[in-house]
Amino acid sequence: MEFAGSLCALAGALLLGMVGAALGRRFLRLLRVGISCDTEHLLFGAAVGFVLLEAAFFGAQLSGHIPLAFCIILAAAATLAAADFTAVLRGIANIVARGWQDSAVSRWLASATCLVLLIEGLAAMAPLTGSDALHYHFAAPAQVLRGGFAPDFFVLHSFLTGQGHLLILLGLALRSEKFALALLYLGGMLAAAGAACLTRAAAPRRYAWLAALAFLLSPVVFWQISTAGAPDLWMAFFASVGVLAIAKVREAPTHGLAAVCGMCAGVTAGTKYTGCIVAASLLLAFLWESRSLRLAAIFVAASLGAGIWPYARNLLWTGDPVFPFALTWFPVAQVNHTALAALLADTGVAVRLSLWQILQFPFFAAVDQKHLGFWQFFGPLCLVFAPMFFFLVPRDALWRASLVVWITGALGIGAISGMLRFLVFLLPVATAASLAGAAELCARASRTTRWLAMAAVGITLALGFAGMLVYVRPALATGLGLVSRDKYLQEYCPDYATSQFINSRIEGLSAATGNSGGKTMVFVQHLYNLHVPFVDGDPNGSWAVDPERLRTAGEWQAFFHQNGIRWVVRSPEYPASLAASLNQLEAIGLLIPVARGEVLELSGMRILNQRRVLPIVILNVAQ
Amino acid sequence: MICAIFCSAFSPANLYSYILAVVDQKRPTMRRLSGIVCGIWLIAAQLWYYFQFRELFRGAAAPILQRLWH
Repeated sequence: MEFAGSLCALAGALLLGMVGAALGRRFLRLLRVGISCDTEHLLFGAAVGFVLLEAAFFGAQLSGHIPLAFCIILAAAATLAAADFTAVLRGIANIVARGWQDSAVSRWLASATCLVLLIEGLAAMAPLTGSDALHYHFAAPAQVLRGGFAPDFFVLHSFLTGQGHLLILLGLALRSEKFALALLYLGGMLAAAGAACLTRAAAPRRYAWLAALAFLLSPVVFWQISTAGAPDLWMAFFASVGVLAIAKVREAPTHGLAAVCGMCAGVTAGTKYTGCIVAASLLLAFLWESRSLRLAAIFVAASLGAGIWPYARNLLWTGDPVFPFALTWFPVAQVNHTALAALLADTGVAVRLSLWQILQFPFFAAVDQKHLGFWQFFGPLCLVFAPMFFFLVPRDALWRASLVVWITGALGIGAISGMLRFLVFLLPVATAASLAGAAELCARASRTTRWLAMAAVGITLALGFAGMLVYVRPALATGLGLVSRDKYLQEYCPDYATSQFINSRIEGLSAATGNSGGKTMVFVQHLYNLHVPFVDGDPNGSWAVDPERLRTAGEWQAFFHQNGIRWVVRSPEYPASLAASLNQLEAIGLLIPVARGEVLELSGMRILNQRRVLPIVILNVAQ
Repeated sequence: MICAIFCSAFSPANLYSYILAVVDQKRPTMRRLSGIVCGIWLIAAQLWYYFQFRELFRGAAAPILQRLWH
């Protein structure tokens, strides 16, 4: 049953991908953008189609009934796309036929790519266990479904959600976590296709397959595509299509193409704040290629139409479009300094890197030794073949666009966020450029150098494949239905046992008192598996819980009353900044213990699989 | 270095033609020399990259080696 569900979800995501491509194809025709290559046409169509769908989904959030509104949008999209659906199918058939007629090496590499995609796709169908996804990528859309389109100051990260999260919301609105995960997987698959298409434009087809494999087997990518539950790979896809489109601007400087470039940049910026850096680098490359302010104005207008919505939402709710990162320019009434400091540290904004460290970013080699992990491991190909791309690849429009986006985007990410893993947005472009450099080297160099270059690619792919198998093995077993969903969650999902305990006890207590109202204040990081109404009480992640304003019993009582909080869960202790005041509430009888228990919970990173016994106490707020 | 790459990339008298001349098949000595430089770069860059992750590889390999040993 689990396996059938996985296949259905993957098929559904692929079908929506084709509907998106057909919808985009129709829109491209309206914009009078003609593309001769089948693969490029499909990718451009998918990019434009999903920009339109995400903009429509954003508007649908405002409606009272999100699932119904989403279904209407899907039906409308399918109707509009119907006329072009056959053309999309024909395009896919042409690509498959060409691949089948290609050389044996290319066919072998294409088969390997399909195998890797299949493994990663099935692994992506395991239940959600990604830490950030459980905290906000999935938890925030789930809250929107429960409570409607409204600001949630108890989950500060919810303000960081953007256009890409609407695909998660779509999956959850259709009551299928698997479908939401499959849509995120689709983004990774399209990003790999983007990398292949970029490489194909500058090198023989076998290098395009190598680029797709190198991208898919990079540890950061197989983590993101399988278990992370984040929409980052959609940004990588839009960035790669943006580069492809910009490379055509000098040849065909049309308004339509400028709009497509702008849409790709805008939706990249609209998915995550860090995407603004990539969008800026796309604008720079566009200006370089088009050298036209009129076209640049169309680019900017299209970007705003595609990606301004999360920023407009934040401006409306908080007064700061990039809440809470621009409080200097957009001051808010009350600043929670504890939450702000924690968020700045979490997103890397608080850390300033040296010039040498920033210069390592374009080569994907700025490894932070203090927080060493495979989430920083992109593989050595971009470092090794960067000089070949810089100096050997012919300098056409694609070379210029790739260079500008890759280098300025990477330097920007290094200087502003300082987090290497955010380079994943640029990985398809950098991988394609590097493999094009490798192809050029192999075409010109001696046999030994050629052998060394191919050995570098081969070692990276072999290590990546082995690493992927080790990493996705448990998730793959669950996706295939060999391990039960519950067993997998108990073993690999952080805070799952705690959430289950809280769900069952709060429901029991509410039933016993005959009053199901009231929220539960929790201090767990991973909120997605909580099914009772809750608020996050951790001052590091909650803007509403400010230790400076919650010191006395009176302040706490007012806070509980104002937010309808009936239960408080201590597991195992309160956060240090709140401990004194909350322990005082217990001592004076304002918090009364009503249930206790112990659970076996994951401790630290899930990959280490370490566990500890966690005592949990549920307390009732005295009325 | 980045500036140098950008300047050389967009300047008409850039390094590109020079590199092409170096790698050009008509100049076997220079071609051999550039091949050696390329080869050294390919090996050194990879070793440096993997060396940065040595602690992780050691941590990941330990349980596998332990299992094989027993």
